[in-house]
Amino acid sequence: MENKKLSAKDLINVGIFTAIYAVVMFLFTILTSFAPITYVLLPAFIAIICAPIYSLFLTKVKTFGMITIMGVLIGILMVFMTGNSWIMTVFCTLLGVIADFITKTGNYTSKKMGLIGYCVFAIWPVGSFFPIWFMRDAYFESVVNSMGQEYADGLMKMTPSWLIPVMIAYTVVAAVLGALIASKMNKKHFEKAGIA
Amino acid sequence: MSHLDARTKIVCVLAVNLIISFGIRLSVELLVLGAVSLLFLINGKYQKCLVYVITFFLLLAGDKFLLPVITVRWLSTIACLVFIAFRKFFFCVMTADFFVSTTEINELIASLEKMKISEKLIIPLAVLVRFFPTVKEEWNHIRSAMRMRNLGKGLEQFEYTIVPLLFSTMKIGEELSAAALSRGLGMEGKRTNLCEVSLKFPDYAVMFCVIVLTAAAKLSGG
Repeated sequence: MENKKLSAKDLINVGIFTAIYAVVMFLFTILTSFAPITYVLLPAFIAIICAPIYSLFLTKVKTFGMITIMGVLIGILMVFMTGNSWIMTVFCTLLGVIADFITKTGNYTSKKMGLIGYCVFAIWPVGSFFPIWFMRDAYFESVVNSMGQEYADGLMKMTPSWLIPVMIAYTVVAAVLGALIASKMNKKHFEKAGIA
Repeated sequence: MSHLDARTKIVCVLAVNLIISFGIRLSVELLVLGAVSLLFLINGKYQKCLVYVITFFLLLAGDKFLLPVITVRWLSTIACLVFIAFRKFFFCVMTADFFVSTTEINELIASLEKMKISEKLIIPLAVLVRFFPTVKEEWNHIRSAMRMRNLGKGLEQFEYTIVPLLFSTMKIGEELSAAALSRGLGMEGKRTNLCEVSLKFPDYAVMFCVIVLTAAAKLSGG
């Protein structure tokens, strides 16, 4: 495929779609964040809810870099607006690059490659749970300090370290589900209107 | 009064982020709270500052007085998450709010350009920030229209909100990009910015304090 450079219109499109993606995600997070169990399931919810946005975004992507930039932007937003750890930016960027490469192998037109790319991209919210994993010792040390061993044990039981792979697994399943809903929506609404 | 450069604020946000990741203790927490409150006060955000300080002490009080009293196991686990884990997030949220609420978008762009960050990142970022309120507004309009006609129960809500949202925001987006392109966004060559930014004495002072604080937190924590 020809190696086109990113045009100004591409860059604007990235900004627009990231904005829609982020607003929908934030609003949904606020709506569901009252119970701990929904908090743990959040990555899966986001994967479903944001699938139509991402799939419409894919119809605008023709150049390498757009999905990467979206990943970087979401990573920056998560650090500067919701106070995630800086690991989040690195993680989102990485996933963005991988998703970009996968989608590129399908020439940005293949639905199958787009789907696989989305499954990779959709994993990013799991990154906000990484501190439980990477900084486990430091985190639990501070819990032990102020709460005593018993409390720390109880908390550790609620957040086992195998949670992360399990989270990734159900997020990917949710991403596939979301993509199916999205493609149905695309057929029903956007293709008819000629904007997809 | 003293107006900090966006670069200084970025350093602040990153530093607080780092300090939190060290696993902090109460003395450092109070120090960080004091420092960020001071930044809020200097910029005249008295009300916000007060809200944050009160929230912090409520969380702290919950941690110190409420937790030892709770004996039910599952309740104490949840309380532990709220009072301790949330307190860790609290500082990041507070600093991020300081950054967002005191920085104009044109200042931010000018500062980022000075940092030699690629235009490929600055343009989408600027569009993103500019577009946020628009999307939110559209979302509210759609929701209130749905309520008025009593539309959408359960899962249907999702489709009925997302589809019009995408239609309307994409149209607005096209107009926005036409407007930006006609102002020469896609042109080759260096762009100029009306907003002059430079690092002045307060910036260096704040950055110095932030670095000292971070180092102190690292040393006392490690």
